[in-house]
Amino acid sequence: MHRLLEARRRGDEPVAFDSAGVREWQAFTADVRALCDELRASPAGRWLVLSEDAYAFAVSLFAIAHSGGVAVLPPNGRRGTLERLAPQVDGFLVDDASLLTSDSAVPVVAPLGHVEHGCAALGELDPDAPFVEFFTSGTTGESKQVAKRLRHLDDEIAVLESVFGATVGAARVFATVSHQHIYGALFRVLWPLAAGRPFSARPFLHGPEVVARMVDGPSVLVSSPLQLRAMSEAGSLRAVSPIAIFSSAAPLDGKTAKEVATAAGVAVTEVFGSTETGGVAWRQCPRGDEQPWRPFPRVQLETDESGNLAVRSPFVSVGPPDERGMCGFVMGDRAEIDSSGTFLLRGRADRIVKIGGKRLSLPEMEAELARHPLVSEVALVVSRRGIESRVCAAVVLSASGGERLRDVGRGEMGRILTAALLPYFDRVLLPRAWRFVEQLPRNAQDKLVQGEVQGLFASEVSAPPVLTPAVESEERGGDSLVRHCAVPRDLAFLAGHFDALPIVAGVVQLGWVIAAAEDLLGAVVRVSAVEALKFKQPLLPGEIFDLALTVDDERSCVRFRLSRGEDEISSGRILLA
Amino acid sequence: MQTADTIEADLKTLIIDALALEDIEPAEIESEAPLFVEGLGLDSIDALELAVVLEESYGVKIDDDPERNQVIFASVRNLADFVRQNRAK
Repeated sequence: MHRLLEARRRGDEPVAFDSAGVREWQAFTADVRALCDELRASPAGRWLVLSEDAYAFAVSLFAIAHSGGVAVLPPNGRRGTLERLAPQVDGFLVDDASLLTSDSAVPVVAPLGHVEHGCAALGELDPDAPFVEFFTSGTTGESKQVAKRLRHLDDEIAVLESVFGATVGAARVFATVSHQHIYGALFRVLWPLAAGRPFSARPFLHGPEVVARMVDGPSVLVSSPLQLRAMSEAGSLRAVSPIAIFSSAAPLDGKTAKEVATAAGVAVTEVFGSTETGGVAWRQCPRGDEQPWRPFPRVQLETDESGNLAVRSPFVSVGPPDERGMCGFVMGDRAEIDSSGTFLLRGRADRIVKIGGKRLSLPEMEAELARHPLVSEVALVVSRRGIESRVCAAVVLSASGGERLRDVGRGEMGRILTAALLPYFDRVLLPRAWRFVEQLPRNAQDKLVQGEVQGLFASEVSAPPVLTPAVESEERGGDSLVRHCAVPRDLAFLAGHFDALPIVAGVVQLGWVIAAAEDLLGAVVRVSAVEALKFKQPLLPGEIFDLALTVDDERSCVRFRLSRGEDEISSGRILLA
Repeated sequence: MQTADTIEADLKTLIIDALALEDIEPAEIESEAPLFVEGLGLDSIDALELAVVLEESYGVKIDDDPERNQVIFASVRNLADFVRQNRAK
């Protein structure tokens, strides 16, 4: 990659694409030169890079390197984070300057749209120069800075290409993960760029969008367990046949691995690594079995005295280098390495806890719970309750689990799951508090936010407010949807509206219509206007009603009608932006 | 003097509060049902904790006598009997 801009590629070779079209090699090199000129005019050396667009991100990284600077990738794009990082950087290279406070003391530059001033030709980069700094969220939640030289990434890309290049061929690269973190930066931008594969510039595609775009020609999907689970549940992967699907950032559960492989016709390639180590190992488990991980070429592994995985490779960028210049890093993951060099992960070291003097591997109990037919996903935390810490369980129930919960209530559901664990675990280790949630709290990188899971157990949490109608059944056509619903008597919106006669407010009905339209269209709905809006009769708690939607031919508007038998409750047209 | 019934009711509330039990009302705990393992499903950590609050609330001391404790903690009824006979508060 350090010779990327020297490469003699055809000017019309595609680099990136989005719905607006294709960005070609010629445009890429011109954009890098123009931005490089712009950056050289400024004294800044450390540029904070935050871009929605993966193409602009690639331009930024190379322009910064060619101007002698280093890119700093913030852990997230929140205003507070950017403000906190401001003193550590010399400038912001962002495509949305509104994220910054106006009195920012450092220069703010947009990645694209500059004019070349005739900067010298972009030659070879120094592979040993600092190239990019990532932030990683340590287990404590405190984010930690990890610097990478160009050669760390170069070496890793060469290895990825040697392992997967022949399979992936000339496919276009789509992604549902952000390029602002190492997995996305490598897999969806830098590796495709180095290998000459066009990549999707769109920031962060959601399942249905990806699928809509992946149908033309060979494709690769760079994704994460959460997105794969969502796409698998929505059935959207059946429409596509990617050459490869990559998943990283969190472990992929066996059930999803199997479903995705069946739907998409290709086994998911899971990649294991960290910001500090880069890629460590990979595996494919089409049947969702416990499949050992295969270390990448050039990666040396051993376990330390506490069973943690110690990694030495040219991609590790922290720790002291050995005589060959390779660094070593001990990961927070426990592993068992077998004689052939492959390994099984045995959970995060920080997830082995002691309760009442007894050791418990939280991942082991999570796996046991996840096998239960009523359970879809689970996260366990340890929380102080009384004189001792106890296991607390946050559970996403399966469809059948959800029905069961409605029948038996939270207390009985907790007892059912406790009973399922009892044959395997000591009684003091059993979860003492259960929370049944719609989804587990995860950040944009699909990592569980431990603090938020803990927060679920901070005190007796009352049941979450009821915001949606109870859907009894639905009939779906291509462009229409009819839902038979009931107004829950404990609907949160009834409070204060009105005390004497509670009715469902018009705006709440509209919200339900928009949510149903999003379900029907499989996309986020942006409303530009509502027309012919009529509220003819009040909708009361406990009432059964029908919600009917029709999308017009050009998909520019959605007609809706709420009715009770023959009687119309409300109707109107929603114009889509 | 409190009757056995009111002590039983108080103990049920005490158990739920002290052990931070969720999703269960005092009335749902049966006086004769086993507290440990079966029934309410309490464990050895709960026993320690319960001993502490029983001493705080009623001034009863639970000795380290496993066989006797098994009887005392067998049910809310037994626990109430023990409290009534030994209470100092």
